[in-house]
Amino acid sequence: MTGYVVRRVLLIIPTLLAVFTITFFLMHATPGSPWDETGRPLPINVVETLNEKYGLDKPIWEQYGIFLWGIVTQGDLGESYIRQGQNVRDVLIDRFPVSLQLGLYAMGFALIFGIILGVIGSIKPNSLLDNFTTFLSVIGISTPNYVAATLMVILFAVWLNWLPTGGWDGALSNRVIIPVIALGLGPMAIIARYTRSSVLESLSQEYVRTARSKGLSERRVFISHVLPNALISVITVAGIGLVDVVTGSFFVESILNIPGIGRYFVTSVTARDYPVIIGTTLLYATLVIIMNLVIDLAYTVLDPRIRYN
Amino acid sequence: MKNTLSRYSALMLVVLFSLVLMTLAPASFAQDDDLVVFRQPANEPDSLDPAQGGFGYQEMFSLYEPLVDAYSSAEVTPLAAESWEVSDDGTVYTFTLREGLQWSDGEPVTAEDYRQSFLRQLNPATASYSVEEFYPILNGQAFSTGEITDPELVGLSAPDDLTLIIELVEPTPFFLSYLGNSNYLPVRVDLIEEYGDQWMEAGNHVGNGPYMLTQWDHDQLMVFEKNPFYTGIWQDNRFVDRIEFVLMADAWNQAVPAFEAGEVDAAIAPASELPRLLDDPEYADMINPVPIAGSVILIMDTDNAPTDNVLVRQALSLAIDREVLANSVLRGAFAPAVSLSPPQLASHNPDEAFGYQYDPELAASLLAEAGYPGGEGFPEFEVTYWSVDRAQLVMQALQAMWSSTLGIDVILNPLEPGAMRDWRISRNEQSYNMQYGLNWAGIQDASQFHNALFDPDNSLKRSRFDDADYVELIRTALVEIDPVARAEMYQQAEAIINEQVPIISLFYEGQTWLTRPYVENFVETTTSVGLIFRYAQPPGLQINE
Repeated sequence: MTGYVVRRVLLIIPTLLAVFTITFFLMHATPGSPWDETGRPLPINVVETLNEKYGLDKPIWEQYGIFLWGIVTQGDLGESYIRQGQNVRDVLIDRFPVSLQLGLYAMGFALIFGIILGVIGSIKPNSLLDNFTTFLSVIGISTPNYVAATLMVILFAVWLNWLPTGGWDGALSNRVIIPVIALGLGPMAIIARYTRSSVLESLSQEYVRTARSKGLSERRVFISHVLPNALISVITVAGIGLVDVVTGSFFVESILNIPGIGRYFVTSVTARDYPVIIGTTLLYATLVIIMNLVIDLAYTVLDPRIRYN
Repeated sequence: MKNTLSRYSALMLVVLFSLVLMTLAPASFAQDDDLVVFRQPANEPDSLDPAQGGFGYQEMFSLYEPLVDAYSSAEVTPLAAESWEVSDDGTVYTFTLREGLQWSDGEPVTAEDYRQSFLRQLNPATASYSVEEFYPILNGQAFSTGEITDPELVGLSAPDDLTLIIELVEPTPFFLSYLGNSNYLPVRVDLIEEYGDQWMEAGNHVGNGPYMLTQWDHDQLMVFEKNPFYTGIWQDNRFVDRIEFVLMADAWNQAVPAFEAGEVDAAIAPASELPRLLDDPEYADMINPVPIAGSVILIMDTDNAPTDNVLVRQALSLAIDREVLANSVLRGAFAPAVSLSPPQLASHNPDEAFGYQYDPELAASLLAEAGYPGGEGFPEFEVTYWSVDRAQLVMQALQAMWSSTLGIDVILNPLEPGAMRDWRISRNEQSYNMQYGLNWAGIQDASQFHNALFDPDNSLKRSRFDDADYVELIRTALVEIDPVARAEMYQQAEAIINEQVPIISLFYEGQTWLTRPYVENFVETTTSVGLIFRYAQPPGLQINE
């Protein structure tokens, strides 16, 4: 087990290197340069000075080496080209908690309501209630989060005036409600579907028959035997969902003016802000790798039959 | 298993509890009732450095004060400079600063501060984005390219604290407009050295404007409050105590919901929102269309067939129904073009505008005369443009107009904005058919539409239109000191372009602002800046309670 974890952790290094390399060359292969956003063409000597300042005049392999060396030796991601004076690592450290909090809340929302909807649906399969929860799930899955965010802004902020249209005041403010629901709707629907089918599957298992034959009440059977087993698969889905939600919040963060990394990433791509693109991509990659590892390890805890060697 | 379950339940309880807690926090920004607060949406500034740009004019002119005001009216009026004199040959400007001006840290504002700021723009190490606007200064260009390194040789001097003398290479009639531009704002060179890249942050930033930066939460909120050391022209008339810029990812397109929810006092309405807002009695009166000195243009390659033939260019222009384009396709948000340059500029010449009449029959006969009757034999013709909403709408409408009137099928080539810029740079050497573009007058001067677009030495040349008489005319006009003679020359120049149509205007730029009824004090600028809110009354006027 320990060997397995060590191997997986070591595997992070070549994976990140590959991500860095691909991103670096893709980015430089994309037409456009960071100095295009200035409104009109800059004089050649100004462009030369800027390229020299940021090392863009060097051969691409040398730029690659310098950038990589900076990351490996000092964890230095460089300085934003567009917002001069902003250190990319500092900005990511500032902003990541915002996206993470948002993601955790959204997953919390998705888990609570997803499981409730799934359980309701599984109590009487194919009943009217079940069809209704299925309907809600289909809506949740098929509504992109930016559409949900926009609709909620119109409804709750503009028409009803209950909530603000956007912004961020920390995790404990009503500004998070719209983004949390918008981001959580998709995973909620998926969790509801998983819970329903998983519960139905568990109900037909032998241990349920054993529990019933012991004379336990139907309620007791459900809570102590069916649900815990059914939720194993749900938890693993939720882990993947968390990654999706944290990394998939570009549009919601942009629409709702939330200063998370998603919004930072979007503006950096259109502005060809190379250090920011690399920094955010590496952060996302790390997150995905770590979450995958955590999920794999969670299997062993939740399901004693699974062992890694 | 029971243990596992209770762990889940505990986790869920925590999450649920936090969700409930969140709903208890207040909904709006905290504010003091005694203060007059103005809240407006803005894009996060890339910088507050006049050498870099990437900020709103509203922010810049609140934090810094230029020597003159060149935006609010057709006349250039004093700001930090109390008065100025121009030598008879138009090359030496002597400014006298107002007495007692101070930076927001209490230090006096001196002529040397302005000199140092302008030298900083020219310094190659600064890599200023707007260095070209400093080329009119004597030896400015040579200093900026490193040909000369002694700043004493640059035509800038400050013999005493209140006198700034600027020597120019040649008469530059629009130089005062440049001085009112955001590039010519003074900065504290000593503090830039002290704080390095952090000099623009709240707490470090020092300006000489009527307001000062007191808070900047990046991508969230930027707050300005009155600069207590300000003694300039607006000193006693600042009726807004606190300006809050609500920073958005795209304030030009996103601010309407925040306006409707009452979170901001003004917002730009994008064209797509206009029909709904116009129909809504609550908002119809809050709509203020503001013209901008700019045109949306089509540029043709005059060295490449078929647009090397003036008849083809005229046919393409005459076949465009600009009324339909502006009023139906774009729903009345912009004024249809009647001449190349917009009405704010002296060159605007709708009386001599052959190419701007809508005449489908004449257009068809011109095309036939050029050898393509009914579009027959017309070569493959590609139009390149940005893949953004407005350009898409416009190009699709034009494609239909040209098809039905002239019988030609143009190929639409939309490019992502970054790719479009690269494509455009590559067209300096390669030929093309037609490209979509914008041209804005950053200063109120006809040269922005003639010398900037057509002088063969200018880096913006793209149509390759090279008529010797015309070029001679605009080069003479550029340095002509007499404003009447100058306007006449540009009128003639515009008549040539309106007839030869190497570049055609489709419609003039505009902004549509939504403002609450109590927001009264705003000015429509005479340049591409659009609308500016005055947080202070012009001196001498009483504030209406």
